[in-house]
Amino acid sequence: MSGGPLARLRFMRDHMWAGSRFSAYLDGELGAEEGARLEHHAHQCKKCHQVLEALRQTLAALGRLSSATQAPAGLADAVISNLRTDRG
Amino acid sequence: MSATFLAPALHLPTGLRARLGGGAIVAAVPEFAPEEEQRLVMRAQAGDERAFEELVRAHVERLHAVVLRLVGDRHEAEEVVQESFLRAWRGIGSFRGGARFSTWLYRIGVNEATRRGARNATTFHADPRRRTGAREAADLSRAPEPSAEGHELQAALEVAILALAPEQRGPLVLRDVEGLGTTEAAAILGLEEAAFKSRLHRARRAVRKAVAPYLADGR
Repeated sequence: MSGGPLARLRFMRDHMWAGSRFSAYLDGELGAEEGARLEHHAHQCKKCHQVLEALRQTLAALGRLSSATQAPAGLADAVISNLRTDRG
Repeated sequence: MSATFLAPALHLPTGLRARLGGGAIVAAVPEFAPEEEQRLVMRAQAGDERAFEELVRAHVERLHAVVLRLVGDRHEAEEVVQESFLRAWRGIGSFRGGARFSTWLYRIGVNEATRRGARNATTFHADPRRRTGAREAADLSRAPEPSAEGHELQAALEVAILALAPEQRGPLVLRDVEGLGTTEAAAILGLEEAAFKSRLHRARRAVRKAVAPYLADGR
């Protein structure tokens, strides 16, 4: 980043502020003003840009895990059989 | 052993898949419109066993997926699923239509997983990092097989999820893996939304750091 002492101070203040808000930002939970502030900082800050992008990739990959999980064949039948046994 | 420590070995995900998702594909799962599901629930509440069995077939796979990632063991997950449906059948009369049936059912599943965890400290409440590391190392070493980058990331994610503290794992599994909304996921876990979000954000940060070597730029 470049600029005078005030710009550097603002940068560091936004850097501290943004660090705990990436997750909420990606969930769309920040208001318009806060969202714009975070985006502006991430545009200026390479480290925050990388963290934000890494989190975005992580969440996308997590979302693909569900379809990759398969229950054992016959589990529903086993559950139903167990229920019928329990009912006597 | 932490998930990060394990990362270099994660080019062998088949063993992990065997433990977490190696079962055959189940038959086509019926999906109901909300009104149809409500009718089934009402019939089940009136004692119609077949109606409840239709609900079992509709929800067993997703409940299993949730529970599997909470307990981290396929055998334990199947037992939790079995017990959850038994409890659901016995308690179906107490279900109130204000919530979705799946929300109510998942809560039973989460509670059962937690109850077993409290009883069996080696599978749920023990140091999750040490437990996961030992298990994953054993699984991975049994099944050497080259894999694509996507599989490496998938395996790293599974390990990272299991390495989370239980109170962080639930929010992440329900919200980010299963794709539930914050309100529903928080309700399933019996948490206020603020507490849920706090745990979720910490879980995401931990998982993001653990899988960093497997992301596009290795961040």
